[in-house]
Amino acid sequence: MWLFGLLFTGMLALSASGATQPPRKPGPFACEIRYHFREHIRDAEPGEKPVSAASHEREALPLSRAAVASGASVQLVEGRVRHLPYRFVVRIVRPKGARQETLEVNILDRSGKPLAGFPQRMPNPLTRTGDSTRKDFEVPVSDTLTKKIEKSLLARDQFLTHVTLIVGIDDDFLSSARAR
Amino acid sequence: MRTIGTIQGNEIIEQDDGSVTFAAGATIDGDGASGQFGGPPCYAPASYGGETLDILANAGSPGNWYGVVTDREGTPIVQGPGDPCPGAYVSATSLRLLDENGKFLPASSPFAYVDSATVPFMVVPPMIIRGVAGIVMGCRCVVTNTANGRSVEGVVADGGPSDHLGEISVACAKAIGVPIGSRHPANGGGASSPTIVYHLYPGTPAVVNGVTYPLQGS
Repeated sequence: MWLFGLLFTGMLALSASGATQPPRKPGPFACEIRYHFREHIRDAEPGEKPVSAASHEREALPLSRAAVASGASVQLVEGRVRHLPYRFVVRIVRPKGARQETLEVNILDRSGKPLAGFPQRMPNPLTRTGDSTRKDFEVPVSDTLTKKIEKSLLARDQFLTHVTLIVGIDDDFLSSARAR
Repeated sequence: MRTIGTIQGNEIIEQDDGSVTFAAGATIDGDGASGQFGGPPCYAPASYGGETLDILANAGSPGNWYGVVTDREGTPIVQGPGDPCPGAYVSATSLRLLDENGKFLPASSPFAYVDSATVPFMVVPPMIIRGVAGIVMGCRCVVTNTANGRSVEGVVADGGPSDHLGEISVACAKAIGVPIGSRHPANGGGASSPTIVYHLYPGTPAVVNGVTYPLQGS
């Protein structure tokens, strides 16, 4: 009887320590590229605002997929978009047994070399509550690439101001990525 | 009832009472925020220590500023010690506000524009401004997020690109539960699916937080 009790207690201890529990996994996330632009207002009078409010075109990356790497649980987005010559690799990593997740963002050029300022790693700032459901990263674009994007993506009188990668976990962002 | 036009697959309808409705997603517009009422400014130089609503690249760069108010030489006006947000730039909306005598406030004044950080407003494309009889800029609007049923009264305060529909201020996004960006609220946020219903009342001046806005013809 005392042997059975010892075994039962040992099982409880193992369970409480998490040794028999699967590691908690990072939740799904989505990424999109935003091409921010404004439009010249042709008939603006002196003293009037000469440009439109800023807006953006967007291209989605594939929705994240689960993976395991070196015992860590990972949600991974990897892919390209039509108007940029880059490969995007975004991961949310939770090491085995850890409570804190890490957000890793890398943007690579055609030769596989990271762009200036990348990779970036940080404690995962994304939460499903409050104003922290999305995080933006500036994507470097050359003048030549800017002209190319303006020609192929934007309408007359519109000009590119900058390009960002948005990482998000809110329902609107996820459902939009699933729909594309 | 008639269709004024279609942008991005979303029909813009003029109702029999002259009001205008459409459903679309929502982009976030930070323009007009200069810290007038204690919120963050939209734009500031790199040396500014506080939060800004948008990335400075959306306002231009030295020698080519388009998203902030500049002097005659094209240099951005930086708010001074007597202004509401010292060190920040002055950001403009299409809607210009008036002084107590009914004259335009000076273009360099942060108070001449509608504050995206604290005032719910919406942005409209030229198709709507030109497509209805009543004056649109400064008119009343109601913006509703059908995903959660939340709704807010606002003002039409800015002009958007000709081929995009559905844009709101940061304050409007917060009021109806549209996500905003964590680092720059106006840059990373927005609603992608057409779950936002816009209803505007051309010719009817907006009254928001006790302030009556001027109707501004173009």
